[in-house]
Amino acid sequence: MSTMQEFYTRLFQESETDDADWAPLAQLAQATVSELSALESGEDWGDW
Amino acid sequence: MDTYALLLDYLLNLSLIQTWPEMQALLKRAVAKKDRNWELPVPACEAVGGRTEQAIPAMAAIGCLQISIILIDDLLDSDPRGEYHRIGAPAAANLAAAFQALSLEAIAQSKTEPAAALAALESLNHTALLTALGQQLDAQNPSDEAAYWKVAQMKSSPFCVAAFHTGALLGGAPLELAEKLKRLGEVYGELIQIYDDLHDTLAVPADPDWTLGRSPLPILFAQTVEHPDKARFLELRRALVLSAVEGLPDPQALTEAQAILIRCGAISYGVHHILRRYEIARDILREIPLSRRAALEALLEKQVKPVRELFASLGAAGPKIMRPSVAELAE
Repeated sequence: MSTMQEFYTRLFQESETDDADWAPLAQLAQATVSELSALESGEDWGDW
Repeated sequence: MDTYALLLDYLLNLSLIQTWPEMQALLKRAVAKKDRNWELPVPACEAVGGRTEQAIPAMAAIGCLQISIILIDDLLDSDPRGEYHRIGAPAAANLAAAFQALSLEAIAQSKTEPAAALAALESLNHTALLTALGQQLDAQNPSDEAAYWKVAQMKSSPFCVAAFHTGALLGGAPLELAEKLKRLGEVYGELIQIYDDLHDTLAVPADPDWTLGRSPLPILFAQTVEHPDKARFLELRRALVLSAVEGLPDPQALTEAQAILIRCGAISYGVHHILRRYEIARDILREIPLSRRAALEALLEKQVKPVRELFASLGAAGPKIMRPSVAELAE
């Protein structure tokens, strides 16, 4: 199983057990694009 | 005078640039943007006990290298924001080569001790070579995760490796100590790349990553993993490429594709990798014997802050790595 597939499986399985690491990440999967706007302030390569 | 004014003054006084007005004009416009990635040598310089002013030639070198990389990257990506639209592709290519050379000149003309200057020159040259290889691999559009990370390590990490390494060298660090900061640069470069991929895939209107059929991390996840919306996602991907070819933007397809990215866990995967890199970088930093590590610690905290804010806005505590330990709470 690929790393991505393994992540996907655990994300939607472990979150059901309220695992402290997985539940918050699963919560992100229910967010909207606008709710994710906080990520915009992360430093990237920019453009100019 | 702020550091950007100092570095502009430093570069404009190098003889290499004085005979090329277009190069001077582009440099002035780039410096005016005050791109924070140009500042990366400063915390590394300070961490080894150097003064900010000592890092100016390293900032200048890193800035010139970034100009060179972006000029080429925009050409390769047919980026609508690219400088080549204004000056033409031949001029953009020639200026890219010139700025790469100016990057090395910035170190060669500094008053750095010869062994440190040579190590910095090697570092910058190595970065230019690896970045070119990374761009070449990226142009072949990595189709699986292993290829994606290989491209990220070639294309993105070397820049931060050179930034921390040259900053430490110009700050007077012994060669072995400066060498240790390279590993931190590798991980920090990956952190920036993951943010870049998240920003590009969530941007409106559609970023070239969508319209050119590229595979940044979240898109790669959504088209690789078996999830209920996979077939629809692949259909939307094709529609977005086609809409760009036809010059008819399809905002509805973009909205739906971005919603699937979130729903299938692709954005969560990116955030997971940001947190992993943050954890690794923190561990690396703890192991390096630095006299003043606060600025580098602050740099890492700044990169993880958006994720902290995101979880806070959703009313979630965030994964364990984000929570202070008992020892930290006691401090």
